[in-house]
Amino acid sequence: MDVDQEILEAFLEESADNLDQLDRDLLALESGVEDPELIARVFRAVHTVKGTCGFLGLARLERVAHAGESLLDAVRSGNVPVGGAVCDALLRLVDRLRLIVGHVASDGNDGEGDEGDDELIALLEAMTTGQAAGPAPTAEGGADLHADQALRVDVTVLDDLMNLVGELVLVRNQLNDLVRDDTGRLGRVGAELDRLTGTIQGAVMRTRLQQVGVVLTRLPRLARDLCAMLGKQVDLRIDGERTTLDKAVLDAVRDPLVHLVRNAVDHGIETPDERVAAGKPSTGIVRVSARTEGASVVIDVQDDGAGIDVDRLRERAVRAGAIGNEEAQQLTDAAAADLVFLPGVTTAAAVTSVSGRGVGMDAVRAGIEGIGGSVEVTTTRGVGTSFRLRVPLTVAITAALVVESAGRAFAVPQSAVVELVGIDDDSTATVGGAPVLRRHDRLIPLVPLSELLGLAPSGGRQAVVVEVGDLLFGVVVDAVLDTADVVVKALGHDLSGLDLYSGATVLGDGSIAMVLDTPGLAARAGLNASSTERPLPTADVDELVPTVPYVLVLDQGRRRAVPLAAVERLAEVDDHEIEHLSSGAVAHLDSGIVPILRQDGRHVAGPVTVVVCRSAASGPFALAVDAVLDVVELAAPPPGQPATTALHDDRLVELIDIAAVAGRLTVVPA
Amino acid sequence: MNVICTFTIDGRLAALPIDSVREILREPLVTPVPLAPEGVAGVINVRGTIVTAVDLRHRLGFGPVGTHDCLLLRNGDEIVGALVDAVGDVVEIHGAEHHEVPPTVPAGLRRFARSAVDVDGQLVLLLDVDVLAATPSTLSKERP
Repeated sequence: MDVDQEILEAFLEESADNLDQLDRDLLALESGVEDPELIARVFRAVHTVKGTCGFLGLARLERVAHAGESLLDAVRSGNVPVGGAVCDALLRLVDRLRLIVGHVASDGNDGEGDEGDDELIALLEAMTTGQAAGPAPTAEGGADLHADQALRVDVTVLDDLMNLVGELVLVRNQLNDLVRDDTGRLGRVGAELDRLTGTIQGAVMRTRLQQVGVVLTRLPRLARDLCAMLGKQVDLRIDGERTTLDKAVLDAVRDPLVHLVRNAVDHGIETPDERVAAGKPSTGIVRVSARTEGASVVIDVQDDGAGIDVDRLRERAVRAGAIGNEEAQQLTDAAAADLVFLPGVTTAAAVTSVSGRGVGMDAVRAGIEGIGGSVEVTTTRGVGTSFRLRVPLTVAITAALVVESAGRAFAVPQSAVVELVGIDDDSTATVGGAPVLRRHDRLIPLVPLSELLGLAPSGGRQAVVVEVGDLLFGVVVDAVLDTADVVVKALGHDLSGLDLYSGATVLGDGSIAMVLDTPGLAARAGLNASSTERPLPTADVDELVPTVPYVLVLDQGRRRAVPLAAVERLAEVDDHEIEHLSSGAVAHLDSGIVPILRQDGRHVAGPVTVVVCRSAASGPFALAVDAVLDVVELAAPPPGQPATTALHDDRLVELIDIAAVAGRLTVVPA
Repeated sequence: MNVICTFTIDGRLAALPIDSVREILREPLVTPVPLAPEGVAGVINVRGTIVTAVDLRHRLGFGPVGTHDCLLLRNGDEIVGALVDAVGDVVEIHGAEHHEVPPTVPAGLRRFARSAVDVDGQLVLLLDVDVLAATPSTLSKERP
């Protein structure tokens, strides 16, 4: 028997004894025995386990034990009172340690994967910092639910449920196709099933929602440890931890968030001396805030540090070979800040153990885009840096545009689509042989989908303008067939390596459409943010006026505009989906029952196009309009002055004040 | 393993153990996937589940033909559709004689063949379910 093996055996034996003793001691503590020696013994036992496994290279075991040790340290020094919740958590710790020691005994290592380590560690850490005084929160973020109202459900059950609802939605779509023109009983039953399906879909979605707080709990500890290591002072402020997100999305933002906070502390915030010299308080502020915006969740990670040195970034990007020197010099500062997302580019002056190796920011972007989200960076020298993550509320069911190219159907997630433009000779031009679309004084590159996918060339007449980060480009297709809520299904191993597709979906007629991944398309087309974000040199002063996107609608023959930020989606509502109550009218939408009204308060009758809006003060409501014309950029109103009109194509457009319309709602949204 | 499912591949009679075949699809609609790796014919909608369709003929070094049936096979943790010329019968081979695979069988097929079985006077190549792991590049490698 070699020495290592001997030590391991001794460790296993000792651990088994230690863990049994721990169980007894913890139970005694829980029953109310107050004995400092008891607490000290518990601390020593966990400390011993941790120490030995560090020695044996059992990293997983060490990590879990470390979290327990920290809590016990706080208990021992009287910072955290011994209570039922603390004992409960410590007993869970013992169970977990026993499980991992079991792995060590049977396999010789501490086991692959997680099995919920992170959750337990988060709980222990939260208790250490005194943030979880109540009963142990469940993994599903139900800290605000009473224990008897919350159930723990295996995620696979929810996944199955989700898949089944996906099937139901598909069957519903097929049925809708069949009974679309039926005005009799079948049509009514179909409409009812349609509505119920939408309701069930929404309810199942909600079961998968977790609070963002589940991932944010790790951040204060991370910031604290980093500060200690780097000699910095940082006040980490967290807002909106109750914002909910689908579990799959939450899992995808976990690592990027940790990375961004680590970056903010490491090379966003200056050292206390530097800060004082710059006339700032010695303690820096890192703010992580989450909020829901329409069908997205926006998470900001802001610091009030030194900001990114964009000149150095240009230099690094050139040195890393990511862009040419001349190209780098031509980038605007805002576009140059985006270089931080390129592989191999770092802003850190020195590589530290924490960050600065230039790996990571590209992974952050890839991770967020992988779930259909986006990352933006804005930075001001001396003032700070802000990263904005925008992720969809859920990934499983997506509103998509079904397009046709070379006789085949493809789906484009609507979250990426900015607008649809018919292509004609007036709106297009070629620059150096490359086709572009002239749009709002910008030149948008056009890429034929058939060419990107290596299909037979087809003369597309429709451009789907999509947005990837700051990059806009037009995907030329033959036709836009439909808009539909599609269930995006994962592809098998043989196809999952293709970054052109995020999945596949079954259409209403049972055929399959590949779901296009817009960042993948951009990469395939050889576009990247830094090469197109550069505005074309122009003397046009108008370009300098900041603009805001609006949905341009036709209402009573007038052109009016709704701020895109307030718009959740567009929908068609049939007459039978509108009910007139004594307090006002409501419409049955897929997402539920919402008040419906016209801007001028006239009677609403279907079929009618509605813009589903949401204001700060109200829930969703449907604004009925005659037609939706376009999404346009209009000059942003000067701060503090609510504008009532704006110019578009030299014509006056009336701006709709959503807050004022919401204020007239007589039916309170559910 | 006494029951097998026979099929033809490039006109040759072959078979897989029935317990490795999840389902047989007769002439399913295969949606091609542009830029998919070689040998992947596309995707099939199997009652709402998207299944990758692998062209077994291509994987085993034969040229493609027009029509096809599909065998749904389990490959690791996913179900994969294997396209063959046509699926034949499900037959009992209890007591049937197993012969060694003759060296004249084309290399791609021979690599995944376990034995040649006498079924009603015809010789059927009994394949290993590992056949899905075949790629055109494995053809040149020796069988371990």
